[in-house]
Amino acid sequence: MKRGDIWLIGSIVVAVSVLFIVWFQQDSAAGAYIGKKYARITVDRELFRTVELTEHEQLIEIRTGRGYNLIQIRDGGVRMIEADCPDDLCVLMGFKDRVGETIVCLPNRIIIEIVGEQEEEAVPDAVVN
Amino acid sequence: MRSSIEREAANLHANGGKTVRGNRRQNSLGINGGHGISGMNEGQAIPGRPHAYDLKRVILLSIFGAITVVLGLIEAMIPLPTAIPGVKLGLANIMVLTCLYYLNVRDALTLIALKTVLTALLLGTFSSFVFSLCGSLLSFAFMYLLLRFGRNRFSLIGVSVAGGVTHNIGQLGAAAVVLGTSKIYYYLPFLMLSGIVTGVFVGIAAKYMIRRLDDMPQFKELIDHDRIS
Repeated sequence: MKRGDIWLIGSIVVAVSVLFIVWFQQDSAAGAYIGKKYARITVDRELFRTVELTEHEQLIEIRTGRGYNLIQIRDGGVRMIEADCPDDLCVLMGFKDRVGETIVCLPNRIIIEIVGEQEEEAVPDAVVN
Repeated sequence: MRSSIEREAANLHANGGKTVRGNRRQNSLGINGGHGISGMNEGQAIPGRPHAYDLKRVILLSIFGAITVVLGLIEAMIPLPTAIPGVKLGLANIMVLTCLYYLNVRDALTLIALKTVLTALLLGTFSSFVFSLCGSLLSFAFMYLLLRFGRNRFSLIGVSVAGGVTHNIGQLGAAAVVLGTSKIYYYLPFLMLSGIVTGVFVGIAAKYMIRRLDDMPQFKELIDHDRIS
């Protein structure tokens, strides 16, 4: 280790700490949010559906040329329960129920974001299909 | 642009008036070996060392490429207890660092191209090809700049940490472009943290590896140019 290493690693650590502070602030703000939450599902850069996060179970199946995913909405949260992508990372991400959280399935180009009411309204055509 | 390997192979054959054309991947993975041996004989007949040196580089690069791919396969078998997209050990970076240490930029760039294409083909995860390529190239650029302009200031550990962090940033950037959303930057702090941790260990591993390789006579003559420790 040289002096430059210490400076380099130190400055990256500082940058990461700042990011984490911002992250935790956003996350705690999201934790305090009460109101309707929605899962905005985007497939291949296009909005697929926006679904309210309900207590009862809803299953959403996505079949595209890239692959197959099964999304489950339950207990006010969302999780990916099945996917045929090679790494299954999206399934490993588990249950998400906070505004701002996302589930990503990169190989199948699917992103599920949890949004609050205002954000949901910002996309009026969301619930058409 | 022709790859450095092709160019070197062409150099080896310059006396015979032959040039080696063809697929970059084939050339660097063993098929070149046959040409290389005849090249060595020609090289011995001619005074001066450049031929033998080029041959050595081609062979070393082939070996490095093979090791990189194997490391990538091993890495894919190790399950990581995280659910953050893009977190990985980056074992292959050990070889990229070694390559930057013994060989030059062109060779290291060739190694990265080999690694990305071959790992994608072997693991069948072609969808992650773009992400890993963007990450590799960004991290390579940063590691190269650190070595080029800060050779005396940074050790392999610092270079490797910079590489790890920028690799993850590049990957995330590519993912943000492909998915068309900036929401994915949610994962940035975790990815940077993992880049630091894995970078430190990869740097240490590369340091040990280079220390051992330095003792081998085959590598001794390669380290006449600028050193890093």
